[in-house]
Amino acid sequence: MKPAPQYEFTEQQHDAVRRSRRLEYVTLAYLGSLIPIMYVVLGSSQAMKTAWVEDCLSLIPPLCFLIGTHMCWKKPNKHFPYGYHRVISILFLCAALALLGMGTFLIIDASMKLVTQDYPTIGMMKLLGVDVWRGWWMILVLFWGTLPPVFLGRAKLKYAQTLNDKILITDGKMNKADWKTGVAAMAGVLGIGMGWWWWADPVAAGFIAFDILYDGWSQTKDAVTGLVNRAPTSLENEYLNLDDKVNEALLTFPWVGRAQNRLYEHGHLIFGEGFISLKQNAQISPDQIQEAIQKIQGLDWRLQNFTLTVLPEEEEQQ
Amino acid sequence: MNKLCFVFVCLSFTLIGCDEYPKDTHHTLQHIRSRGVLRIGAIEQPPWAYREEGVAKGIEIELAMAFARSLGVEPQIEFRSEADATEYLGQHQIDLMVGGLTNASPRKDDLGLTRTYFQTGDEHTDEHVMAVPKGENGFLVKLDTFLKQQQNRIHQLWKAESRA
Repeated sequence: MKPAPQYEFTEQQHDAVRRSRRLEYVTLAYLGSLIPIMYVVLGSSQAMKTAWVEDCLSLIPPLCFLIGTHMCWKKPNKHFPYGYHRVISILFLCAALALLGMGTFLIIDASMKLVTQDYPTIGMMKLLGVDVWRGWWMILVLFWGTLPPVFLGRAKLKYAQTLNDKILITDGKMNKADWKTGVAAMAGVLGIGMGWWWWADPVAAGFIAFDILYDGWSQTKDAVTGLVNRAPTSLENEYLNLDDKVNEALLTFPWVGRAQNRLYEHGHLIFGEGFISLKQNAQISPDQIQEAIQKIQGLDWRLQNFTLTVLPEEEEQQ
Repeated sequence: MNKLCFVFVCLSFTLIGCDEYPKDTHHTLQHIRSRGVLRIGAIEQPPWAYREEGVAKGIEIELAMAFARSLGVEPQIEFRSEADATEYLGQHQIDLMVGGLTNASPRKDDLGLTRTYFQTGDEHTDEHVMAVPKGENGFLVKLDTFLKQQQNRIHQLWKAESRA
């Protein structure tokens, strides 16, 4: 058995893993502080409830990333010859389905509140010796729920590029967009206090729920297409057209007559195979094949496992 | 985003400055004042609300009447079944519902409950509340604030009723 090659991080990537893991621990600690206090002030505001669920759901990407960085880079072995890179794709799919399900549920929930004209009722609340309308507490907590994620998100996006990590970039983008949730929920709560503007609350809840659903939908699409071995893409989901580059690189060798290849994403990495046919009367040695493979793998750091097959003449004519 | 936050903070402070914020969705407080009457729906449940020789009595009856006075209006008490009172509250035919309600009430989805104003029970506590129509947040804030100020009185009423 020949296990897939074990990828070694560069110094810069080691650093990025360490720092992004730390960021995710900070995120978990932050959410650990936010989720309980949000629950305390929740009341009967639908927008607050939806924002709270979103915050609970945002626990998933950091957990996935932490599990992923622990599992994904384990050495390939006899029973898992391709390594554990797919773990990240599976985690990603699970997280995406959670968002999709909750998003749908929350949109229905918010619509029901709007249609049945379920007026949110919020009274007074005493916290830390201050007795004021509960809505003000909600808004205060929402500020704590809005500002820190923006900074966390920005930092995560930086490392996501270095590591080409889909979970990290998704998490970062969600964090960065979190202020929209906060502002929408605040608008909902202020609407409740305006009397006949009560509908602002379920509408804000619907807006937040739609955001969750949209994230869920795009991530599910991304995870599924990754699992069916789509051609490699960038983190922004643009095709890298790496196959053209690989062919071009193969054709630079004087002994290559025709070149073809197929590539797929394997977790963070790219695996694939190439097929060449030789020019007439050309002779090659194993060293030359090795040289070609090394050149191809040099095209992209993620391209870690490339095998090259030399086709016989007849097959080329088919 | 900074601009948006700024607008938001300004708006919040303006609203904090408002005398009547939060407001009611159906202007309950305004209607009570213009009518000069607080319509109280009471569920018969001693010692919270009951009738003795045709006179309404009980801890929550006392509190509701005092609340009406604090608003400068007359209390008008009607005894009803819990189902009827809930229905009338939803239709804004009464303004306030009293009579031993707790925040574990199975009807709480149809009621605008106050926060817990008093707890009873030893092993398991009953968290006592009153109810207003849903969405009447201005009125609810007035009632919540009033009940908070009456804490000593509530304890006295509870002791007096316990002795009786």
